[in-house]
Amino acid sequence: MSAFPIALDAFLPGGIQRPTASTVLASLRARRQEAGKGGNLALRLGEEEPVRAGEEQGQGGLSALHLPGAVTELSALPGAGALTLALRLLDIAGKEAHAASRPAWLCVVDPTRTLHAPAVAALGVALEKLVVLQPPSDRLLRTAVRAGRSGAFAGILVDGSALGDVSGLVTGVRRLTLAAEEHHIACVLLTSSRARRGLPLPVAARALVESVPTPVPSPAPTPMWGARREELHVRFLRHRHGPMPRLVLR
Amino acid sequence: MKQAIIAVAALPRLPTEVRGSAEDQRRGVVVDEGQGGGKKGKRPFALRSVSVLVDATAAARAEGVQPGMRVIDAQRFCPMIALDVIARARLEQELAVVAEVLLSCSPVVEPLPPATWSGLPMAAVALDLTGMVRPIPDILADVQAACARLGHRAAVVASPGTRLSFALARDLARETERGLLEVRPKDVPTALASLSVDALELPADLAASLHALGARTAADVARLLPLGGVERLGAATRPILEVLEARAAPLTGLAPPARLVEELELEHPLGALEPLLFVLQPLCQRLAVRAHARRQRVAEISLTLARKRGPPLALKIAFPAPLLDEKAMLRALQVRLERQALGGPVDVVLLEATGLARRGPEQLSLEPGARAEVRAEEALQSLLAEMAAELGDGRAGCLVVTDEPLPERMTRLAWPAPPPPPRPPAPERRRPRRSAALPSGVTSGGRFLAGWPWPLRLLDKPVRLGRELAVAKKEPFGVLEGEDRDDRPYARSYLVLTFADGRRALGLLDEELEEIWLHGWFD
Repeated sequence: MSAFPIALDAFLPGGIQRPTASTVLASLRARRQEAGKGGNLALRLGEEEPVRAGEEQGQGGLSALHLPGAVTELSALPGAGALTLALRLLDIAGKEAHAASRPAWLCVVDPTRTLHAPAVAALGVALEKLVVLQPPSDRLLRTAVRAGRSGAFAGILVDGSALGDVSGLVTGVRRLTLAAEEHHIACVLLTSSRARRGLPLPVAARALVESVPTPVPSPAPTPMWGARREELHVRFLRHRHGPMPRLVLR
Repeated sequence: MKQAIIAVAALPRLPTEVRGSAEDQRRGVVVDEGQGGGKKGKRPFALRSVSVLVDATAAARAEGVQPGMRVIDAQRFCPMIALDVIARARLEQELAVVAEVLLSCSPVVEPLPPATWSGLPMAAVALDLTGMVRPIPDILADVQAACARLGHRAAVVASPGTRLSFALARDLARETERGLLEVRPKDVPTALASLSVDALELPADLAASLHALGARTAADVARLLPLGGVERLGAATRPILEVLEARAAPLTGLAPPARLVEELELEHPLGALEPLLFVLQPLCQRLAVRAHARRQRVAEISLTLARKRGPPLALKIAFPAPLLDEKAMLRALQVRLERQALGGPVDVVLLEATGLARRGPEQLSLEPGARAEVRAEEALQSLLAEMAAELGDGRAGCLVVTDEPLPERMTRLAWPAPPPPPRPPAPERRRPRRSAALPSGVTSGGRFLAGWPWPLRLLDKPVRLGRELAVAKKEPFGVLEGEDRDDRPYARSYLVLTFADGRRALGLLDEELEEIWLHGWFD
């Protein structure tokens, strides 16, 4: 994992491949000056300000969550919308891989065996490129690591939301991270926000996903509304690029 | 007419390789011809001091032992030599397997076993390369590589004549064991000048008389023929003329056997999994190589572990996607064998491909990344094979939407198959299904496309909602009525449950008991 935020790369003088101490200091100074002008999401570090995910953000505002070559953990309760968010991240990874002429297969490790095909297709995910593995819960990460090491996937979703205790996943997540780094896979790990935890999981980013009812009364129910939520709040508890503001997805 | 090109792959060390003897041990091989006579039928083979060695390991050769020696003579050079006996049928079976694998290099292949294994035999396989598009040297290298995948050393020669190729391959194999040679029509005289008389397979007395006349090479014999050589050679004239004139004899094409079986009888029984996997690895590799040569993929394998005492252990593994990866086969076997006890020492291992799928032509795209895509698909097939063995049937595959009326049956895992040919429309059902709340004209499988989404997580069996206090809002979602595939009527009222924290779930209303059951999450 790089010690330098991605946003710094734009301020590095041209021709320098590896930053030195002086270039980093210069970049930090330039960054601070830019941050004083207002800046964008990556420069407003440490500020808790909601960012509306809209058209101006790349990848539907999910760029902070989409981390190829790393594991992103989404913690939520069932029904909060984390699975939809994870599948969207997987879809982005698949499209990026397809554009880069890399294998664009996607994988979902689903020990709960509850993934519903019509709803996944309705999200726009190509079912013929989505491989689902349904291991027992005790072989969850072992299966995911095996899938990652095969090198056939652009994105892997590991559904650990049914686990009541994730303290034993540290070693498996580390192995999954190594496999993701090696094959440039975007891995998303779903956990329950109520699960018991020991050591923090070695993930690149951890975010809490919550479904927040809108203050404005929703319109009359239509057949489509059941699958949509008004607002999805993504609160970052950790990110490898430093503190991140809250994301509000509509 | 197009000039014929016949290639011959001579296998000089086939007996030792089939026997599996280590080259650093002093060992020789004698072949049991299986032609025992006697009034009561076949007699068991008896190893005698006058039996002839057909092959010897490198360590034995280093001490002076040569193929063709009698056992008693070999023991003079190497008193510690150990002798192995191998059945002629086993050698011919292996030669047929080599020929089957070489079908990947040419459509017309013929195994050429020696008439007798008591002399100086050399098994060979002939291939008809006439009209092949690829360069001949590349094909010869492929032939040698295919033999090497089965663990055999081969000297491969291509020339316009069948017997000429065979003689040149034998001669080359004696010198190098792994040689490649292409003889073009204009180079035939040069090749004959370098071909020794011993390679012409002449009777011993005739070869000695030719040697006495000063004939050392085939070119010398050619010069003798107009000078009364035909009369002196007699019946051997025809095969010699076929060599000297480079005549192409048509080959009898090999028809591969319907069953793909690899069997290994163990000298010492195996009772542990680790050595058994060590034994299974080459069997899987040979199975994959043979299937590849037949332009097929392995869809199902069965393993039988036979014992002298006790019943055999048999297991069968079906792969979600047909594959050719021997490592994936071995891992799938390993996963299944780890789950069950062997139950005793194993004496015979039999691996059979009980399911074979046709492998279509591989169209390689020129786009960047096409090769990576092919590699990814192969890796995926291997992964699915391993996962199918580890997780069980129906636990690995792609999501498929089925045309079932009940939502919990709409999802299935399968490997996407190519679209089937169009079939005539099925006759109408006696009592067509009806749905009161759904728009007309929408099939159940395509309901989600018509604006009726189902939750991302759908439970196989609904669970009763214990704490309804947490539900902030209940709103009707839809009513499903109709008959399922078994003609059983159903009527369901679905609700969308919104919890106090904003989460949403799909509920099922039991109107009789006035209870709400949780059926899924809009996650």
